[in-house]
Amino acid sequence: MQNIAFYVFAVISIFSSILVVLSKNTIKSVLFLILSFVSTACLWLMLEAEFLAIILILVYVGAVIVLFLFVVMMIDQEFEIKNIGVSNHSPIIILTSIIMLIILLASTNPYQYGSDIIVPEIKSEESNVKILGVLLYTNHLFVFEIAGLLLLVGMIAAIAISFRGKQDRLNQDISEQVSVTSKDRLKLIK
Amino acid sequence: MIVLSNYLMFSCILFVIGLTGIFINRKNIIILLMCIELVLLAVNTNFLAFSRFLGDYTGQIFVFFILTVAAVEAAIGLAILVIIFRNRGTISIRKMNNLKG
Repeated sequence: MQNIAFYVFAVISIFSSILVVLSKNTIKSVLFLILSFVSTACLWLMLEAEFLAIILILVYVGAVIVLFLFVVMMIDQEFEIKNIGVSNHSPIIILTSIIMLIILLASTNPYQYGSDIIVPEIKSEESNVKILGVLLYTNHLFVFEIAGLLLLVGMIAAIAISFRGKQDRLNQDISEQVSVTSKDRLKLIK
Repeated sequence: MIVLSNYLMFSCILFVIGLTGIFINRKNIIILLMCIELVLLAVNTNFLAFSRFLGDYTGQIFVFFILTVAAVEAAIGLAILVIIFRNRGTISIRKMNNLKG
C-alpha cells in the first residue's frame, strides 16, 4: 500500500514538474507547480515530516505560489507565447541533463553505497511538531532569530525595490511647510 | 518496500528537471524562478529522506530554514521582475543583454 502511494505521488510530481518546464502558458506552469508541490508534500507526509508538509502547502502553495500567480497575471499580456522559446544550445543542454541524470541515478541506486536501508521505527511517542519545536527553541534558537531577521530584510528589500516614490501624488511636504517664512507667503508687486 | 534510495532517486530526477528548466529557458524570468523553486524542493526532499531514515531531526530544521530563505528569495526575485517589467516592458531573457556578457 505504501509502495503504491509512493509511486503514484512521485510520478505525479515528476510529470507535473516536466510540464512546468515545457508548458507554453505561464499560468499553466504555475498551476502545474502547485500540483508538483502538493504531491511532494504528500511524499513528505509519508516521510513523517508532518509539520513541514503542512508548512509547504500553507506557506508555499498558499503564499509564494499565489504571489507567482499574481505577478504572472499582472505582467504577462500575451499568455500564449508562440514559440516555446528554448535556447539555441538545446541539444547540448539535453545531452548534459541526461548525462547528469544517469550519473546521479547511478550513485543513488539501491545496490551500491548502502542506500538501501529501510525505514526505522520511530522511538519516541511525541509528535513531530513538539520535537521540532523543542529543537528550534533550544539548540537552534539563534539561527531561528536570524531567520526572522532575514524575513524582515527581505520584506524591506522588496518594498524598497518596487517603491517608486511620490512622483504623481499630491501629498504634503512637512519640512517645507515648517520652514516657510513670511516672504514666501506674501509677495507684493508694485 | 520503500528504501532510502527511492526518495533519493526521486529527488535527483526533480533536481535535473529543475536544472534543465533553468538551462533551456529563454522565455521569461518567472519560469526561471519556478525552476529554482523546483530545485530547492528536490534538495528539501533529500534532507527529509535522510532525516527520516537516519533518525536525526536536524534535517527537518535545515528544511525549515531553507523554506524561509526560499520564500525571501522568491519575494525579492518577483520584486526585481516587476521593476524590470516596469522599466523595459518585457520580461524576456533574450532581450536582457545590456551587459553584453
